[in-house]
Amino acid sequence: MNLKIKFDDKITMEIILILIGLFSFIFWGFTGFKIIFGILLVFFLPSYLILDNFNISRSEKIIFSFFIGIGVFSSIAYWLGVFISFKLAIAITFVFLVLVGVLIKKFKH
Amino acid sequence: MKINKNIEAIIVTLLYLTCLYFWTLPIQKNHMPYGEVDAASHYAVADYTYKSDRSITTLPYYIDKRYGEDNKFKSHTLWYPPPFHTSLAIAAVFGGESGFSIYLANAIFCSLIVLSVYFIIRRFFGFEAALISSFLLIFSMRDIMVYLWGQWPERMGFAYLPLIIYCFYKYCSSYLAKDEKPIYLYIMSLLLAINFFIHPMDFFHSVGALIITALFFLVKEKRFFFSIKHVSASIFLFLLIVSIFPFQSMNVVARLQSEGGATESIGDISRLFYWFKKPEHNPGVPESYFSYKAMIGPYWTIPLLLLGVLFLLLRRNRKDLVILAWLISLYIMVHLDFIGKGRVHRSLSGTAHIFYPLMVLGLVYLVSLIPELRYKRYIKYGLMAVFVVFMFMAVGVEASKSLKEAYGGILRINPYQYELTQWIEKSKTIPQNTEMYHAGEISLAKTRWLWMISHRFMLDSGRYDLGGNVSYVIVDYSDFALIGDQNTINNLQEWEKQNLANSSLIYDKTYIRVYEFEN
Repeated sequence: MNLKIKFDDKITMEIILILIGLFSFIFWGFTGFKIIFGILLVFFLPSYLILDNFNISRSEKIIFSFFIGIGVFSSIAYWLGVFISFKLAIAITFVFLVLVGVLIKKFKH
Repeated sequence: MKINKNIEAIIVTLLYLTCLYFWTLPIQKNHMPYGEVDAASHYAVADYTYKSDRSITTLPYYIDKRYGEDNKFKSHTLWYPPPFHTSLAIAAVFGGESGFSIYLANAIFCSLIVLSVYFIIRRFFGFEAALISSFLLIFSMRDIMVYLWGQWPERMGFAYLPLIIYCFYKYCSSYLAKDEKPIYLYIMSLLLAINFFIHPMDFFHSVGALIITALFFLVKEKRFFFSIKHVSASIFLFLLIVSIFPFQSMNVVARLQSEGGATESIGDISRLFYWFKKPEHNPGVPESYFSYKAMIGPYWTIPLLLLGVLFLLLRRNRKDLVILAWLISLYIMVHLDFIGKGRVHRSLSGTAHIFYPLMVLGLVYLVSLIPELRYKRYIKYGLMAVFVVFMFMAVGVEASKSLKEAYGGILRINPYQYELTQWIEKSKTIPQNTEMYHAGEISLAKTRWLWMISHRFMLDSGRYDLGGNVSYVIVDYSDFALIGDQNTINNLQEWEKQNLANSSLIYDKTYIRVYEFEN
């Protein structure tokens, strides 16, 4: 068996997001949908943007991003949350980490 | 099997969504919190962070009454490093509530081992081995049991080990190939530090696996396979990261100095010849927890497991050595009681993570022994399919049943109790720093849940007498009414009459009353 179907990366990503969205909605409702995409947004996306600047494979970037994101994002949000509103801390942490990713990219180029 | 990476990504997504479907079965129909006392503690920290909209530095009174001394370095502070509970609280912010959100996020975190095992086995041994190994892990009974009871961070922490040893392998391989990639070492440090934050015991598992891997590499390569500069930088990075939570990191050190392990197996040589020998004194888990058949799979899988080990031993390339090092380090961790250390029955819960991939490798090895035939490829996939079906019948069915029926009926907070907790939590009459008494509890865990969801300290009537500093008394008939235990209801009514005649009734709803206690 040789599974070689032509798939564009963008289409794949869209299929995956649709699958996750549908699945979340069906089994965990709108609350579950928000949680799943919230988790992906804050734990995955910023770390991926940072790791994307380094010479490692895409699958490595994807898996490391999530595992690192859980620790790094929540650590920063925790410390900010000691001084300011926790919800605001989450927003600031997100913006900060995304900026770090973008700046590294800019700096490296 | 050659597979398009995009198709593979979709298959892995479906695999993990399937995993999440099963692991969220306990909360799909019933959103009430469940678990033993540990679950209540983890829930409490995340719930309080979410509801107070602030990170916890000093423990609130109701949490402090139980966990105030659990941080041996700095009392009255968080006893675990904050990332795990903060992550749950972040999920609660997205969910807009702290019950279901915490449980859904926890299901994701606790099942991450499925993804990390997929990743390492895929990179080392290919798609089929990774897919089958991680599919089997979805139904790993011991993982499921511990997850349901509530040792949540411990479950999540195990997922970091495969990634940590993978990074180490990648760095060493790049160094030996004279194409140094220190980024892997720095990522490893980061993962190791996060592993330390999530659960210290799992961190020691990872360190053990790294040490054994390094020893194996040293023997195999007969030369150094790292740069002192890179290793120093990665150690510095690790120390820098763990220093951001000094009280919790030092708590680990303080606990290491103060805590001993089980003593009954010290020097017991016979213990070394078992993977795990059931302890004489049960550490509070069911008998089945120590059974290979009930937790891992039927006994016919043992030859496959041994074949997997044999296959790695015979080949001994660097990837094989990493997996063998993982196995040996786990063996050491589950035998630490031989020297009176460790919490070995907890370490045992990491068994399936390495046993399942070894079984699958054994199967792959077995198939490779089949002489070249025209239909060999079909025989291979046929055998794999049969293996998966048999394993699913043997462990998957039971595991999904356990998840579906977890904490049914009165084993978790019932709606009457939940209504009470919401009333107490919002109550302006009952102060935050009060002491409540819960009469009519069916278990210690039940009282603990009422305590943590109400945000009020509670004593259970099973272990404490009414009196002392108790200011409010909950008389809870709900569980006994739901199971129709009239005798206990009568006894409780009698107790209520005798002890609370002079107290003022402040809450009187179905099956539950609360009194302001007059001694």
